[in-house]
Amino acid sequence: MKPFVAFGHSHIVAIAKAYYGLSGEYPPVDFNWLHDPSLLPNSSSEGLNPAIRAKIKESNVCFVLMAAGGNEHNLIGVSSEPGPFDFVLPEDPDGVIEPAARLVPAALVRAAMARHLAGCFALLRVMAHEAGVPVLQIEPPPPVPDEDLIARALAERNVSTGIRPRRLRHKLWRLQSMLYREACQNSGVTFLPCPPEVVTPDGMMVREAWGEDGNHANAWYGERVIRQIERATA
Amino acid sequence: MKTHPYRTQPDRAFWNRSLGGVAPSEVDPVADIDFRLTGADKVATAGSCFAQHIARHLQRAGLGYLVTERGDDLGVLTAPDFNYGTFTARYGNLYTSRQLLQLFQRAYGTFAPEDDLWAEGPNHFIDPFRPQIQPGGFLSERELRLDREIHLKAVRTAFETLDVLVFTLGLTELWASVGDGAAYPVCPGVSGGTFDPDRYSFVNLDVLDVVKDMLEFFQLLRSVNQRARMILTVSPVPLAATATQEHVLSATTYSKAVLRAAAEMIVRRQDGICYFPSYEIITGSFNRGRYYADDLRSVTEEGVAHVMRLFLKHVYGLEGAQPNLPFDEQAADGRPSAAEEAVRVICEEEALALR
Repeated sequence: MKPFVAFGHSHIVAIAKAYYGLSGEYPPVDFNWLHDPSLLPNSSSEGLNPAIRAKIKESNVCFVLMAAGGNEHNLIGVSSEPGPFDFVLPEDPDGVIEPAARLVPAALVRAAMARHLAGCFALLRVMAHEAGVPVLQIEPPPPVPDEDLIARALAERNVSTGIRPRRLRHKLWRLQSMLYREACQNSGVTFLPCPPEVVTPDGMMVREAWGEDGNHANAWYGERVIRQIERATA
Repeated sequence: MKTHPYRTQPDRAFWNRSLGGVAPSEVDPVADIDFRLTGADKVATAGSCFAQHIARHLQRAGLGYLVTERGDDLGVLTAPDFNYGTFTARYGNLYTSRQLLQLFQRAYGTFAPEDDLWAEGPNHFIDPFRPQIQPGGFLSERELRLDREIHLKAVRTAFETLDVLVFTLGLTELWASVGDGAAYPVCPGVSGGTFDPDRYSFVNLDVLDVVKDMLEFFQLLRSVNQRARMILTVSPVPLAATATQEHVLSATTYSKAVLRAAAEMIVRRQDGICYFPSYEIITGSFNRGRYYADDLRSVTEEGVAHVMRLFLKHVYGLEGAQPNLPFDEQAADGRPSAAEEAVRVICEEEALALR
């Protein structure tokens, strides 16, 4: 594995856990949480936060790994407002539409997600501009299919909300990935799709990869992403 | 004393009594309105940009504004630029009488334009009859078709349940399909599609065209809703551009004259339709142009407020009602106020000015 530095929000954790577990195999890596107060704001009109810039420069790396954002699909997928809805996924226009649900334009869903992702995408642009080495953004993990697990995790956190049907949550995740792909393409960032083995045939997260909160993936998932990163950067 | 017909005329019939010494804000050119509305009446709106102001004020005043294609209940998905609630249904601006007539015909399946979508890219499809209804158009052809079904159903619901349609006549100039006469809100090629002179032709409606379109529309509307009534207004917003060889000012004068004359003829010929003079309130010389913003085209909030105050007074009997927007010093000097800046009035024809 070539040396790299990693920045991300919560989805970087699964990667970091796996990487630390493989420490004998790979060189040490600095995994950074983008909500760390010393790194905020991550970027501004003047560019990258100097602390982020320094970490990249000082670590003398071959690439920057990013796991910016990625839970924006859940802001819609785990909610009760609006009521039941569905949309035509642009990548799968002939896919099933829930007949009892209200059909809304995909562009509307996309716009809602894009509003939430604007900060992440701005960071990717700045990162690609300033890093001086290639930047990779990993695709956020697919949704967990088990509604009971999600409900339990929400209840433990005293969060009362709805959970959308899994087919809709899958569509939301794919729409989110479309946005990531476009943002990466427009910014000169390499978008790394999820390893195929972590996705079920119907597009959800495989059982082995589930984290404990019904949202994030675990170290098993992270390890597969690391192997994929290694192949992609070899 | 000799007598003659003018002796018995009310003050409003005389310029010096109704305008000469009257404060601009007190000018009231509204004659008798044939019918009154109550807050229980369901009022639908359609038409050009200016109709959006009426819709907005009725909504804010809680006066039975009918919305059959809602978006205010979309929670986290709510986005103002998707035009839910801009009008009663998501048809966008209907600038011409021909568009209104064809909207009815499309909704009830008696007209299916050949030119039914424009594919702009792999994930970019435009509805030629509402090309700016949402940013970026539709993301798939199937979605466009499904959304159109929902939309036209909402249009049918509107026509069948409204008590009154407030329709603002905006333009006479339009572009139409050579093949089947389909009228577009914007010239093909401006907000989607590709202009082809063999497929699209320019039409400038005359008075008789507008009268015919509107009377035909009203007959169709009454065929599905016997109690339906209509209030006509003429948009005071000048043309952004003309496709004629005239100066845009002359073309505007022609267009507005046609629409104003047509409105009068329609009201005289058909019961259940009345005219509300918002055009006169905004364009009248009494206000010395202060109801137009610096671009000499946009209507200021002060002007809209004047219109709506008289609309509420004469149509709803709400004497002294204040529209729900403040008159402020900034608006009074002709510059757009903060409120105006916040107003999002979408004019697809504006796109012409960018090209």
